[in-house]
Amino acid sequence: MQAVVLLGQHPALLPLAPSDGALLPVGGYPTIELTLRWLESAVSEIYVVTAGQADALTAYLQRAGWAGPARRGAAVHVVVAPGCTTEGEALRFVEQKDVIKSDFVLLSGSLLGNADLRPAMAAHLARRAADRQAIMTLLLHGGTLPPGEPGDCCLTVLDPLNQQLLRLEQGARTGSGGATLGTHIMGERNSVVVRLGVRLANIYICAPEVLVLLSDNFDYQSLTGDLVPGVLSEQELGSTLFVHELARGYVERISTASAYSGVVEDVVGRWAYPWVPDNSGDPQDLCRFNRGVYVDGTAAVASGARLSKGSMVGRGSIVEAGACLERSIVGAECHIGRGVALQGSCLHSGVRVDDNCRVSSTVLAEQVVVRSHARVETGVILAKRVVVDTAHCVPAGMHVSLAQHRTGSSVASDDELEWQEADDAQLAAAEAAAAALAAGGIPEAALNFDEHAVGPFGAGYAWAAAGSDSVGAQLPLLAGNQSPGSECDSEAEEFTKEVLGAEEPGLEEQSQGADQFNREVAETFLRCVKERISHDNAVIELNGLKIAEDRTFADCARYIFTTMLSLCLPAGPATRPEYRSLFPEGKVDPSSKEGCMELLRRINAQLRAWKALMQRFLRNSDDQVELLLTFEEYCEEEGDFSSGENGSVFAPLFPQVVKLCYDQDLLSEEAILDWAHEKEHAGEEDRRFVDMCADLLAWLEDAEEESSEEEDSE
Amino acid sequence: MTAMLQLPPATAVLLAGGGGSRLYPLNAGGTPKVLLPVANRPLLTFPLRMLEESGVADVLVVCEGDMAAQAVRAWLANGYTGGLKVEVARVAEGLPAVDALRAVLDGVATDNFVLLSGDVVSETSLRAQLLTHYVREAAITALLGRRKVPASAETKPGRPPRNVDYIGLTGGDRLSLFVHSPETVKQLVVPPSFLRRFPSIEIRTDLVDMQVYVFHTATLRAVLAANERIKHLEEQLVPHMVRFQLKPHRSVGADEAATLAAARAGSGSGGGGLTGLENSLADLSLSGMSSGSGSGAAAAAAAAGQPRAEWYCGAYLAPEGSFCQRANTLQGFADCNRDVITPANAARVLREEPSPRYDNFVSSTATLGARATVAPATMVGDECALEDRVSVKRTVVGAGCQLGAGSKIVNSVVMDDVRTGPSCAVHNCVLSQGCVLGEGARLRDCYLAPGYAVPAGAELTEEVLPAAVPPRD
Repeated sequence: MQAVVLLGQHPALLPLAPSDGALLPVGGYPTIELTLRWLESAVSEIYVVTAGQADALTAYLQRAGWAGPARRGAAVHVVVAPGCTTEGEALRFVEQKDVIKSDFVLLSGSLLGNADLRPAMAAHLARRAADRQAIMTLLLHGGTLPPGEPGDCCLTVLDPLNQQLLRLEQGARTGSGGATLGTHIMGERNSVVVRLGVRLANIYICAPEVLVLLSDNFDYQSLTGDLVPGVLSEQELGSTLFVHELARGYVERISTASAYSGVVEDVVGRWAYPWVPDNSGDPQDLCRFNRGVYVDGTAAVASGARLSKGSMVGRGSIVEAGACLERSIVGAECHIGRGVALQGSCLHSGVRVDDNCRVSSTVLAEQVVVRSHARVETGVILAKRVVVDTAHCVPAGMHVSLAQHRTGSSVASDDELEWQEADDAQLAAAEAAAAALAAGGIPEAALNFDEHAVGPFGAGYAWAAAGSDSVGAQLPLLAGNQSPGSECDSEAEEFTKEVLGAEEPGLEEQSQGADQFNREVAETFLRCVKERISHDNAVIELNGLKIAEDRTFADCARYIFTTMLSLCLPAGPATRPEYRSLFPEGKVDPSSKEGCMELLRRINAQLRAWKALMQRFLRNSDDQVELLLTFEEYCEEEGDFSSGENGSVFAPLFPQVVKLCYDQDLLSEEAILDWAHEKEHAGEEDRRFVDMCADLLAWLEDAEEESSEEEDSE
Repeated sequence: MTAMLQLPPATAVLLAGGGGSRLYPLNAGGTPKVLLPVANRPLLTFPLRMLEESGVADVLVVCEGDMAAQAVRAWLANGYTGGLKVEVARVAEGLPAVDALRAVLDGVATDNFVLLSGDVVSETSLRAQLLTHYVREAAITALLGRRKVPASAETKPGRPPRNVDYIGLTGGDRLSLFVHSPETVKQLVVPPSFLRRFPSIEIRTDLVDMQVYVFHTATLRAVLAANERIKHLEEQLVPHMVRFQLKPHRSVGADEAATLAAARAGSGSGGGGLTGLENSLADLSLSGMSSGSGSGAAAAAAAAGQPRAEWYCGAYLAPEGSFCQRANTLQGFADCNRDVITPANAARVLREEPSPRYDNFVSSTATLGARATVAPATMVGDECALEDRVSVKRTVVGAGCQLGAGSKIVNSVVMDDVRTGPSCAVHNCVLSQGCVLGEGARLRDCYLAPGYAVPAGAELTEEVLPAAVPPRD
């Protein structure tokens, strides 16, 4: 059998792994090494598909003896699929290459495991022999997640007799609306099993027909998001899908920084045996395992250092006296100074942590330097060669890299070579500066590093992506930097970037752009109000704006909405004179009951007047959730609305306004519940508005149950 | 078997119905449904025996209308030989089942009670069902039978099956979905709270609700009081309780739900003579409980802290291969008659052994003519006269029948005092009491009202024949 490994690029891993994460070290090995060793036992030929730059990967495979003439075991080929950002695109690319001749195992993402895939493969082939139409077997993790556990769990409907998959639903809010089953599936079986909390292993055993299907349906992007629903809804007549539950064994995907840390911990904790640091198969390897601690024979650990269970010290590393490693992995050639406290952290090779630093739950990539008395807080990721200044504290959750964060598409494609060069030059400059700073010198060229991230004599730029951890987990994309639902066309995006002529669309520009767009939408809307432009024409104008700025529908809706709210209050100082007449004269006193009532009346009037327009821009519940988040921001006078708006006036009325929107069909109950759900695990402060809406939410939930009850009794 | 565990007292309400419109025209003569004969004894004897063997002592038989009530009273006074204390209550004719239940529920004095339909012919152990109910501290426990022919065998792939019960089971014996509809159901809705609470729900169409329930009396009272629009049992009451089992407060209100939870827990383990019941699960499995993995859900509930305000809606599955049917349709009635007398079922359901030589039941007072044959799985009642060359196969023949020479009767039910002329042929029919068939009549798939007279030489197929012709005499 053949295997295809689709290396993913995940936004949450970006600062660590600019290309595809295949070479991220796990317990002393690059991830891809373990993936290949695992697959080797089951298949004879492996195609590794990457969208990023393959040089480093190819070089490694050659060096490690996987590719090239002196190959061992399975034959490994690297397929570079430039510009392929989704599973669908990458597999269509593979289909064009015409290398897959038989049924094959497909791994989506950087997977690491020890589960035996052969029983699943045998079951798949047996089914195929009996029925050519059984084109795919999806592998599931054993057992189910307990309810309420976050994670990328899904809802499945199966035939318990033959494990045929009848329905698959995925996503953050899976099952929150209940499950509605068409009874037609009972026509050929006497029972089905509905399960929530099932986890996909991201392994698929496919017939070559799957590739043909993907080529025929060129709009299919994700396997579970497009292909599976397509087949199940019988668009592809006759094809059937099955699942196979992995009864035992370990399989995890490295898609986020936290998943990465978890996998590293598991490997060191010997859960993924035989993939453990002291079992490389290389007789020269001197890694020794003793009482839960791995220490390489060439490492120098001072007698006064304390290593707790689950720690590892790599080749040639030095740990000085008084250092304390708690569940921490130290790669090769690292230097850990005196009195350093490392807790739950993962250090790649060549990292230097000077005396008396405290580092907890972080990932430090190659050549990072943390200078003495510095602190690195939980959840921080420091990419290659970042330098943290003496006695500086890197705030929790921050991602720091020498490369500046590019918010647009970061897949290097041929069209982007110029960009690439500019990037490279900049990166080289940053690296030179970092090297100088690491050595305690002064860099030749002064670079504008983020001082709050790395301190005055540190090197590195803070990335804004810290919050996207949870998003990354659910993106089944090969390169997950475009959200699957976003309607923006990547070509258009590139185009706008060039037109803007910005070297790097940095953070400030981004927010400035937002501000600009906000004003444009607000003014267009006000003009439509003033000139009594019909809804249809207003939609055309706003749509034009949307396309010009390459924004989403939700972006338009949110600014129309906030402008509408501002129309309920007297005009602010920033309002242009020609629109002043649109605003009401009378002030309202939001602290009095009459004031509130008056305000609500005005809001209601506005909503009623512009409901039809708003609905044009609220395409789905995601857009509506976006609207709610904007409304929150507006009330808090945060982000885009931090200057000159009177948002806080609406804050006490938050639930009432949401209810009005619900009554006017601007917000569906699904969207409101989604919004609340999204905030479930947020901090106290973030939940403020959700808590205010508690009554409304309870009422909605009741209504939802009630309505499904009505259906029941009918 | 070890010494029987003493169960707390329970009473039973038996819904005898009235005329039984679905059995028309068999009851056109005024016989109530529960007194129609199954293997030559009133249908009612079967549910009554089931109750008696479970240890239930008091039974209230609820009849619709005076006629039914009087007939049942009369039979209880003269024909009934069992040891139960049976009382008869009369409710208005045509009253929906749940309203009938409302009318008599005040009279139920025990903590839990059995509600069953008068047309159940089953060998399953009601005692085991009661025991499951107590162990789970359930609000309701329903008996589920198995379909003889799976629905999928009668349905085209990709089409919804017709006239099935959709039963959702969790952990083997907890009802998590219950949809009964004689019509085709397009969709099933599993509410979000159920998905979260029950990680795996098996939805089956090969089970049938048998209308034998054990209820926690106070819970049922509260549900009926709070939901006046509930009128029907399997269409409304049972689905309602299953639907609200996780949020009883939405059915009966928060206070009531809490009180009930405490009451159920109390009636289960406190003072009711049931100490050590948890240990008696072994006893349960001996009595034929089919699922071995049922204890998970209860353990989870216990771990989450008692008393939980949830209702446990239990399912008791008729053991595989056991006899469990309802005589509530013409087809069901005929099937019950034919099936209980088969050698495979007779000993267990009828408690009578067929003749060891012929595998059939022929009364000692019946007379058989020359070369008359009675095949296996056939019953011939008292004082029947089978003339020469009569052949009877897989049929129940009532008392006092006269079958003319050369008649052939297959797969049918022939009630008391039926007379056929010579050379009649009867296939798949039910001939009610006192029917008369003229010479050479040929009937196939017909249901005849009492006293119906078929003229000589008639050929009838798939007819339902009410007493349209003037009665004899």
